[in-house]
Amino acid sequence: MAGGVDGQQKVIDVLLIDDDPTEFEIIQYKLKKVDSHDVAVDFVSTLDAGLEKLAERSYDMILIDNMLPPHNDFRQTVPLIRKARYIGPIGIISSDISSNYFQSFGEFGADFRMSKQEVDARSLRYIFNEFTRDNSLPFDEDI
Amino acid sequence: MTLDLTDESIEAELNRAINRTDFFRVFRMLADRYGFLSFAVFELTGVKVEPRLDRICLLADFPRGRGSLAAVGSEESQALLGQLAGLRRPAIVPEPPEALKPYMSSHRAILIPMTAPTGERLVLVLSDEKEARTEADVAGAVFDFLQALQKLAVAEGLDADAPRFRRREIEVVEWTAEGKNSSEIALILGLSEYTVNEYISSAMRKLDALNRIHLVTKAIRVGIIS
Repeated sequence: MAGGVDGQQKVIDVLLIDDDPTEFEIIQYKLKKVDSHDVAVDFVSTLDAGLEKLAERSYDMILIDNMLPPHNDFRQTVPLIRKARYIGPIGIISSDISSNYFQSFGEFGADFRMSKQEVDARSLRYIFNEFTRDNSLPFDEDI
Repeated sequence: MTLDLTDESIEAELNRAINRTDFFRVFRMLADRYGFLSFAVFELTGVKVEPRLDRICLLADFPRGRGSLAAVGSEESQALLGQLAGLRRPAIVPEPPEALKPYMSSHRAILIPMTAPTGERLVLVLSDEKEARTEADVAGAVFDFLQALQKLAVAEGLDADAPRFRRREIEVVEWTAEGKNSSEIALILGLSEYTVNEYISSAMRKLDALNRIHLVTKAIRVGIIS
């Protein structure tokens, strides 16, 4: 959950991997409108740089552009992130998510897909609420 | 850049929807299209003696998400469930149900029930602040949201009496039976811990299991794993 033990909000650390630096500016702008969470975003423009960041520190979530040269699409990049032992949520962000191969995003280790047009304060709020909550507790507490 | 809210676009997204985030995207598109402030979908199945709204809420467009429904007291939860369970057709109510008022600050709510082929039910609560809606507008919204609810019911496995298990659900149950926890299973299968927990929770729901040990026992008993 985003709420801290003493009422302080936990900062959600997001790694954005996108070869277009403008996307970083855009997402920073949209995040300013998310009043439900404190979010800090690190930006890198290549997968290799992203993997280096992951080796240095932990992130609550990764947002990754579908097309990241020299890789073809998320089917190549997301498994490499999982191979680096990252088990947090990964969301694929793309201008167009209508291609058939997007239907297999779960098989390649991604948690969600979203078009760039959809990414706004309301969508981001949902993603942070859903993917940073502790969904492991219900059920086990019944033991 | 604006979102394409045409019939074709929303229908295409609905047909592509796989997981709850996909369905959130579709419900959100519909809510935007018809001008609803927020929404929540509840599944009226597997309700225990002491219902927890956060556990039966499948989707919620609330400031703090569906997890925040854990704060709703038992009496208010029971009252809401009673109200939702008693619905036989869509209803416009002058204010959101008491239990949801802290989450839906609107003057009015629209409640849309949907019964799955299994007899289990989903109920959509829409928060509405529009001054006036034509009958055609309400009818259009009900029709479109019902279609989305039906697809969601299929995705949640509520379309058949005998639950169907996805390959990933079986894999996750198998590894749970091997004594692995969620983060270990996530590493083994190349998934997120979140998604592993979602698979565990959906398998538990399908088998009506109370915890992971119960899940494994039931999965062996019905032959899902050996």
